[in-house]
Amino acid sequence: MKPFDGTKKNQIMIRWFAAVTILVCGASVSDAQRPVRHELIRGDMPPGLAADYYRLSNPALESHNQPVRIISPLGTQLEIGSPNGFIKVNSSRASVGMRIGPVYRMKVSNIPQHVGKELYPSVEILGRLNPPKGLENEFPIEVVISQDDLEQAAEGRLVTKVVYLENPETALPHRHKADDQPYFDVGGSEDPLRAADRLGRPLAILRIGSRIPTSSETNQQFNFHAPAPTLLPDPQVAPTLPDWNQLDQGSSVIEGNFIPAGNGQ
Amino acid sequence: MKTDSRQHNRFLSVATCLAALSGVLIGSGWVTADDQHNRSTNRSVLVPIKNDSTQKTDGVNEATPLPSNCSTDACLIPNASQATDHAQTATHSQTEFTFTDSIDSPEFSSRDLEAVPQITYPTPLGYGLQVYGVPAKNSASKLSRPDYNNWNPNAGRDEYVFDGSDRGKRVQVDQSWNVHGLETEDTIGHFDTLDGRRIVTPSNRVAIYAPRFGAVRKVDGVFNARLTQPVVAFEEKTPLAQAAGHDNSSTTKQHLALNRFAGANRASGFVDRTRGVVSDTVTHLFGASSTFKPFENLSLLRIGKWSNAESARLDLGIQSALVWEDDLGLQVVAKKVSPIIVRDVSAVQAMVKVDSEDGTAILRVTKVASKIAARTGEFVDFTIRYDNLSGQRIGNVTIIDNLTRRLEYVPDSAQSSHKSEFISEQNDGGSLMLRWEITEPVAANSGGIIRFRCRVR
Repeated sequence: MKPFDGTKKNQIMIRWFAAVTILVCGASVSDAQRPVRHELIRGDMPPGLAADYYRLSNPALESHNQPVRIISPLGTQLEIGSPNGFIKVNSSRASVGMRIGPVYRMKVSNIPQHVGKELYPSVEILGRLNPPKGLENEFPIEVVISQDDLEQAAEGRLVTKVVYLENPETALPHRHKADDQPYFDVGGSEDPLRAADRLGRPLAILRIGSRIPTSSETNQQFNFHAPAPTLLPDPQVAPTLPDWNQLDQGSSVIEGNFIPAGNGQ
Repeated sequence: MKTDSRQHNRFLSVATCLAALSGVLIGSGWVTADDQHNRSTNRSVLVPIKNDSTQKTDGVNEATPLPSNCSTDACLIPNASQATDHAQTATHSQTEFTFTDSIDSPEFSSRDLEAVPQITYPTPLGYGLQVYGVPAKNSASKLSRPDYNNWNPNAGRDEYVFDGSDRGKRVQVDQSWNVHGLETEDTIGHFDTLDGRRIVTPSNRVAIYAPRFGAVRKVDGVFNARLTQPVVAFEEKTPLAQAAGHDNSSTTKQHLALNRFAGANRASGFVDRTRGVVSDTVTHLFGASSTFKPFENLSLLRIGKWSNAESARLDLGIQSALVWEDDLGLQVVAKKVSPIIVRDVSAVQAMVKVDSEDGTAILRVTKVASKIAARTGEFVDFTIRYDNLSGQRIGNVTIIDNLTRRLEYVPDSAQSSHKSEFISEQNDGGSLMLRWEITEPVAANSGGIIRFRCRVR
C-alpha cells in the first residue's frame, strides 16, 4: 500500500518542501550556535558618532545644555577646550555645561609621576538627567578621570570609559567616596557601551589617548569644532526642606517623648 | 478499542500537561519560602477579657487571626483546642495586653466560644487573613502634580531612590507573623483587630533624587592605539632636524651676577585683619530628640490630622508623584472581605487615606523624608507616622521598612514615640529590613511617630 496517493508532481513538491525545511532548520540551528550581532551604536566608533545617533533619535536633546562635572586626580591641572584655546580652571575638577552631540576636548597636565606629560582626553555626552527644577546644576553627570586612566594613557594605550547611570534596583549596595566612581574593566573583544547599557543608562563616553595637537591643525580642528562649553559654579550642598518652624508663627505641638527604639537583637 | 486507547492516551497527555502547568504555576507563585521574613519574638496578643479567669489562663480567649471568609460574628474566637495550639505557638510572647474597657460582654459570650467548631488556618498559598482597603475617593492631592513640587515629569526611575509603598508582590502576614512578599523599598504596617483580623497597610512612597554613576572601561593596547592615532603625530616628534641644527655657537655671553636687588622691600606695616567677635556665647544645637523636626512640622505628623492647607508641604516631603504604577496603585486597607485591588486610579497620589464604613480598624501609615534630593554620602531623615483611624483599639502594630540597596541605615538612629521593639536584619538587597513592633496597643484615633536616619550610598 502506498503511503500517499498523490501524483508524481505532488511527490516532487513534497520532496522539495522537505529539503527546504531541512535547510531552514539546519541554518537556524547553526545560527543559534554562532550568534552574530551587529550593534548600531558601539563604543569603538569614531568620537562623536555615538552621540550623534543618540541626538538624532531624540531631537529634543539637541538644545539641552547638560551640566557635566569633570573630576581628575588631585594635583593635576585641568583645562577645558574651547574654540579660542583651553580654559584653565582653578582646580582639578570643573563643572561644565555641555551639549549632546559635540565632542569636547580637555587637557590634563601636571600628572603625578608623569611630570611634563600632557594628555588630551575627549568626552561626548549621550543623554541627559532630569533633576527637580532648580537643582539642574547641583546634580551633574560625573565623569571621573582616575590616576590609573592617566597612567594607562601616558604609556600609550587608549582608555575608553563609558559613564552610565546606575539602575538603583541593581546598584551595588556599597558605599564609595565622593568624587570616586567605581568602574568595571571589559576585555578587548567586548564593547564597553554595550556593557554599560546592560548595567544602566549610558550618559557619556570618555576617551584618553596619547594624542597631542600637531602644528598642522588648528585649535578648532583639534577640539572637534565643538562649541564653547559653559563653565558652571561648583555644586552646592543638596538642599533640605525649608524650615517651616520659621515660616509658621504658630507653636508646634509636641506629643510624645521620642526615645531610641529598643534593639531586639 | 484502538481508538479508545488513543483517546485514553490523549487524555493522559492532557492531564500530564495540566499537572505540569499547575506545578509551574505553583512553583512560580507569588509566595515562596524564600521571601519570608519571620519576626515575632514577643508578639502581644489581643485578648478580650472575660469574667471567667480560667479561660484567660488557658489561653482560650485569645483572639486568633481568622480567614477572611468567616463572618465577624461566627468566627471571632476559635475553639478551645485550637486556641491552646495558638497559645503554644505564642510561647515566645513576653507581654500580653488585655482590654478591659472597650469590650462588650455580649459580643464575646461563652456561646460564641462553642459556636465555632473548627477553624482552618490558611495554608501558605492561601492567605486570607489580611484585607486590603481602598483609598478615599479624590484623596489624591492636587499638589502632587509635577509643576507643584518641582518634580520633573521627564525624570526616569533610574534617577531616584525610592522607599515606601508595597511594590510588586503584595505583602502578606500569616498567623505566625511571618511576612511574605516583602521586597526592597517596601514599607508596611500590620496590626490585629479586636475581631481577630490581621490587616496590612502600606505607606506612601517617598522618592529622593539621588543619581549615582558607574563606568565601564576598556583599555586598548599599543597596537590598537596606533591604528587609531594619526601617524602625523609621530612624524612631528622626529628630532632629526633639530639634531642637525645643533651647530657650535660662535659667541658666548657671560652670565653676570646681579649686583643689587630691586623691589625687595619688606612690608612696612601690617593690616589688622582680625574679625570682630560678634557672638561669643553661641551654643551649637546637637540635636532635638523630643521635638519635631522642620520637615515634620505638619499637622498630619504632629497630631495625625490632615489639613489641605499643608498639602503643599506634605508633597514636598513625600515626593511620591509619578511613582505610583498602575499595578501598584493602591495597596491600602479596606474591607474585611477579599483583598481589593483598585486599578482605575492612575493619578499620582501623595498620601494614602482610608475610610472605614463601620468603624473597622484602619491604620494609616504616612512617610516623609527630610530631603527631596541627596548626593552620595549624604544623610536623609525619614519619619513615619502611623494612625489608628478607627473607633477601636488595634494591637500588635508592626511597622516594617525594607530599605532599598542605595539606603544605608545609620546605627542607633531609630526613634519611636511609643515603646517598641526594634529589630533590623539583612535583606536581599544588601541593606537592612527595619522592624518596629509597637508593644502597646494603639488607641482609637491616635497614633505615633517613628524616625530613623539613612545614608545615601
